[in-house]
Amino acid sequence: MSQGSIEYHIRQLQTTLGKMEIALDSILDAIIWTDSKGKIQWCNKSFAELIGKPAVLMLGADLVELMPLEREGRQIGRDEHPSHQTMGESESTASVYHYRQPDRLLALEISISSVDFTGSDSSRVVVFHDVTEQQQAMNQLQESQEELRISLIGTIGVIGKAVEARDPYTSGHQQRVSRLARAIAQEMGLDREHVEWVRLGAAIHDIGKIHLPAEILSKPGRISEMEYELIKTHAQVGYEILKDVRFPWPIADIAHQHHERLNGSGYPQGLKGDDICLEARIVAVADVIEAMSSHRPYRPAIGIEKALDEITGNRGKFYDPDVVDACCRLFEQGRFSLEDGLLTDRMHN
Amino acid sequence: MAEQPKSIDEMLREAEIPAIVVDENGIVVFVNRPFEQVFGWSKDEMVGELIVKIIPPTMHDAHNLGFSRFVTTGRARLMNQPLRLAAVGKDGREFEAEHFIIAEKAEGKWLIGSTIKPL
Repeated sequence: MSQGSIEYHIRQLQTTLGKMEIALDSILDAIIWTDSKGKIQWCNKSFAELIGKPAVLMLGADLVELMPLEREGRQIGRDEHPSHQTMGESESTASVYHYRQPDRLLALEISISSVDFTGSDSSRVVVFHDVTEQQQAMNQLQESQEELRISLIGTIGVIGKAVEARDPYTSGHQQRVSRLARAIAQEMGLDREHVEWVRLGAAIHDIGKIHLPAEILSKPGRISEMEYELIKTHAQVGYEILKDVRFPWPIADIAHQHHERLNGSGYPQGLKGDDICLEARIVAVADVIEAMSSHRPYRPAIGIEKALDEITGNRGKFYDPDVVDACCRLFEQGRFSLEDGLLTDRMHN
Repeated sequence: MAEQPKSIDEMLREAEIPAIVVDENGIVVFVNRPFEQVFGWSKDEMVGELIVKIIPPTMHDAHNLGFSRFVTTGRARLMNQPLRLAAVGKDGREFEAEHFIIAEKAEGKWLIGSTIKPL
């Protein structure tokens, strides 16, 4: 090759490199190369701005000294620093670290790639991607989701109370059913979220009664066939009221199905077996237990013993066997009372 | 101040502090006597060689990028200011030195010169 063409090729390479440096400098993410000892070999403009010093002072600087990082609230040591982690050839990893500046704490997603070229020391490319705003937005989102959840749960509680306010003789019925249903769900090993919406569905399972005349609800004597049919409509009415609300959980189904029985003899749809959702099967049992154990305007309390007999006697026929067993365990082991609720809470709060 | 020459011409006449001048290909066109003494290479061993000869290997990437950027865009980050950078001599030993880099166009082509004062 002639001198002229060597120079030509040098010029070509310089142009490419020149473009590359400009391109790297235009990237918002901070990028550096370090040698295997963590000394900075090159940095782009964004990195210099991140550190707040001129780029030229970065050359040869030790990354760990230049940029102390934190994780989970504590400062990390040299070994944990991105530029010092042991990596295989041509491997890359990424993690989030916190970088404390005088006036704020940044969250940086740091990704490291190791490059091994034959004939020279291995280098690492370290890229710093600012995710501070993302993390803040996530935290705020979680906070507002939690607030909304609390409001929703509170609202459901209010609805439950509104239903009960019309029917003073059975005031507290839904609440007691809800407590028992929750305890049964926990006993059956359902996860925390699941147990919560069994509880909530139970808290308003009788919302359909709101359309019934108060006189029928608290009638002291026997009711007529017609009055009974009218009362039975509360399951369907409850479903109609609830079905168009987009709850995160199928609350409407609990109101709809809590009087269904496994053998299809229930109402309003005569559903059988697995067509009845598990949550409604739990509330059904809790409902029966509570009703029979408490006073009603038309009869005194039948008692918890007879109530348990009812569900064990019809275990598998009307009532889900697992639900019945869980409910019986709670009472037999003395862990639940209708007046006081669960005596020891098994779930961690 | 001798360490902060204002022109290539001054650099060529510099007699106390090591000085080196390269063309826009990064090829050495001049070194002075103090340079030969400090670095250990003679004028003949240096002229016609690439500047990276005196730059520690770990700094080659930074040099290549910065030098290329300068000759293609005319913009530089490292010029006209004292810089503390490592340099390497004939014996392979690296040492810290204060550099002062300037550039000038001569007949349409760049000449880049640096004083290199060992610290």
